[in-house]
Amino acid sequence: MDENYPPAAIERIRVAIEFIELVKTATLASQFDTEELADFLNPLEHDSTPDNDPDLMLSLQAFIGLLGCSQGEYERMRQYTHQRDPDIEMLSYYQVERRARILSGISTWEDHMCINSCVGFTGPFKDLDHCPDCGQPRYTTQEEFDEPSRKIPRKVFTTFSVGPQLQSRWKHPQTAKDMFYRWEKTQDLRQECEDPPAAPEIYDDILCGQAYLDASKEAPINEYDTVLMLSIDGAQLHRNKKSDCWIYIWIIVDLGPDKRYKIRNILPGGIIPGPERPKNLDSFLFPGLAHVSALQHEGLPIWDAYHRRRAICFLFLILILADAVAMAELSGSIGHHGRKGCRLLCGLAGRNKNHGSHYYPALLRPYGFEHHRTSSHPDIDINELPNPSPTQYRRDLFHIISSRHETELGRRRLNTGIGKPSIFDGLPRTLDLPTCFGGDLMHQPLINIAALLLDLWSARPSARDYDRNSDWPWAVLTGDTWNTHGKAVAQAARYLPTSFGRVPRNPQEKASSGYKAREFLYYIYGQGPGLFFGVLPEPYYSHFCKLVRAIRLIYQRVISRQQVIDAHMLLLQWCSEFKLIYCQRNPDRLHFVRQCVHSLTHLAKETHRLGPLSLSSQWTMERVIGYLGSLLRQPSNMFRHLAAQSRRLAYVNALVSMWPAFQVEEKDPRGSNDIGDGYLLLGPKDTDLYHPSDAEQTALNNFLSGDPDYEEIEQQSLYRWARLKLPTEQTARSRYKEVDRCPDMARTDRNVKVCRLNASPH
Amino acid sequence: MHHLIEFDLHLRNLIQILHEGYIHFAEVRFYFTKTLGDMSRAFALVSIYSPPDEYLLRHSNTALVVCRYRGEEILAVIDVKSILSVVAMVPFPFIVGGRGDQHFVIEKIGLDVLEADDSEDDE
Repeated sequence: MDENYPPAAIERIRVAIEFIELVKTATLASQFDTEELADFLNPLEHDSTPDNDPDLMLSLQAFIGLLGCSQGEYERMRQYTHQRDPDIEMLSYYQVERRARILSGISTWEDHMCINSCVGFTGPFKDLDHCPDCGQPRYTTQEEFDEPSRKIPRKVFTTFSVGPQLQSRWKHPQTAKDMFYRWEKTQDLRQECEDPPAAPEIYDDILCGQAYLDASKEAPINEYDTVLMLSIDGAQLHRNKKSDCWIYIWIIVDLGPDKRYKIRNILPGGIIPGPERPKNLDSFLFPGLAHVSALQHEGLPIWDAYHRRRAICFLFLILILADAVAMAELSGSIGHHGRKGCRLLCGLAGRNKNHGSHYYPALLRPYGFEHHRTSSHPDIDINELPNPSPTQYRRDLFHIISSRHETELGRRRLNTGIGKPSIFDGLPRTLDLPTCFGGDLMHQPLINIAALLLDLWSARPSARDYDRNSDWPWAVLTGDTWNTHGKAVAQAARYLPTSFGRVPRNPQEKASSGYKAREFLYYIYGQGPGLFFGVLPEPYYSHFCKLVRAIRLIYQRVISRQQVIDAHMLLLQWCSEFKLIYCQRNPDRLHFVRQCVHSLTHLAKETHRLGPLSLSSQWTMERVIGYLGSLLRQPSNMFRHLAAQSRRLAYVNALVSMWPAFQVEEKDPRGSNDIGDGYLLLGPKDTDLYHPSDAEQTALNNFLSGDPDYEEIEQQSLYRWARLKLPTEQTARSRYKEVDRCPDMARTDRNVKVCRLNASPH
Repeated sequence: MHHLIEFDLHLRNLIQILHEGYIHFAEVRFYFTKTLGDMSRAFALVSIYSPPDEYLLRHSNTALVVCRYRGEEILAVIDVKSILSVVAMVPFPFIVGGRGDQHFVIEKIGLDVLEADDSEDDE
């Protein structure tokens, strides 16, 4: 970080370095106007109620409550209210949004961009009039406007300032208290893990990961500091391709995991309109990252309403999350086809087929590769795989930067896995590069491994064609077997509880396109062991079960240290056996060893480093995108509308954190019975006394005979309840509900896991 | 050495499922409240599935948990607070130990940090 980069000869790399330097030297003064800056630097002591103005209160409440409705709907509501009582003067939509902006202090920055989404006109491109990539003009042609001096940008992208959004998190005693979760958990963990040094017994948060624990001491990350994750993803807002865009958000790690991922606690970061892919992502992230860099250097002043004192907080960016394609762009790696294609940049060298440019991370050297030009290296022991190393990364990066020409760069890219420096190198407080780039728990183990196994088991031509003539004992999903199996998967859907979400459709018909991650999850890792039993021959079935077991462990919300170790051993076994029983050192089968196979070897180590990986997966981002998509109602001007709705979301989230009373608390459903510890009985309930069957009668008597006040009664009668809400947020139903009352329920929610059977009446 | 570790791992998984914490699977027939002493408590009347088939458990590295549905043969009253989670019991199309009515268990797989409860199904 302190060392200066060597001089760069290649233009692309020079531009990347310029962005990094500009991020490094960014100041808050250049990001706000004078008045804004003064307010921002002096957060006021804050009262827990807004102005004593009932009309303003009502307007803000309607603004928050009608998020997702159009401005017209707000205006109608205002009109009705006024008609009912002419004394009530709600603010107009324009006024209320203005008040929301002032109260929250959130600035929205609009920067110009290329009409084809190549670059944003920021950083080194700030003063250009044409796109440096495609040459399209930045401004609308003059003759369309009367005043020739006015320059109208053809397209803009939006960034929301994260500093004010974070300040609002401290302005109410209750919300401010929630921000201390991280610090309290840190104290507990230090006590557990420092003397003697050990990994935590239980991993239940990112904070349990070694990466955070080390950084919290080395950086250091203090009581008032804020730890953030950045998550970026492409989104298709509508069915049509024209609606592609890129969204990024900030996630506050200081909040407990139960609150952290809720929509109300997500901070919108920016919106990059498509539909073309942004070519230079750095230029679009620049305004947001320059702001974070300035906050990291200068500190974010806050008013802590819980302790009623001022403090300065220094942001720490712990992880950057993205899907595989965007991640290569952000980390500056060369992507998964490269020779060193692991997205974590662990440096494992892959092997390619003769003259192929696509490399596969095969540990075992295929037969006949002894003198291969690029892939002759001997077998690699799976227990001695390399780990991502910041020192090595820096050495490789400097090597890349100092390339004298494209050919040399090409050669060095091949040998290092790095293509260019990353803009995140400009931030002073992150995990060391490349360890700040998160893995991808969703696509690689889920979709890609599932797709690989199905390709092999159903002998899809894409996998089979290279290896036409050999025997494939595992290729059993053909003809009638595949038909029957596919139907069985779809039929099993009705036995899956509602809380499992979307159920797998028939994979024979759907798995090759548009099958959702969640469908793969419950098809392969849920139903798999049951439905492939007797279908997949040995040793393939037992081998598959090891993967299932390991993935189920890794995907848990809470994982014990022992389970992480177990999962690691199962995954390593699965990977080495995969090469023995499927690939068999056959050079024609090199393409079986996709990057996703290698990614499994990282899962347990990543869990140790970052805590349960579901807490740093892209699922949050996916849900935010779904939520923003649901707020859209004007497909005609989609990107502007999306930016406006995201801004509204940022305001609403800030207002609700400043005045939690604005959020209408969700009440328990009518007629429910709260029995404590997170359990809630839910209706429907019998209206007439129920007379149990003989067998039920016996069970009731057996149970009640333990009660000292129990009197033997011939016939127990009672009122039945149909449903029970569990602390897991799942709702368990019952036979009474699903068989007696609604025999046509689409799903089965009455089977439960129970920890002890003997209920004592005492 | 390698085999020894593998065996140990396997055994630990087995023990976890079979015995540790006395995990069982059950079908809820209905819930009810009962005042015992001066406390109102909630119970569930359940039908308990058989313990998992040990051969299949071993064979699948504990990924395949197959239990038999026993209907009214074995009913019991449990405290609702001993219910840990909702699971799927999917019919297993093979005869095990000479008997039908077999189901295999699927538990909810992680990733639930941010899901709203989508199980609303009020009548």
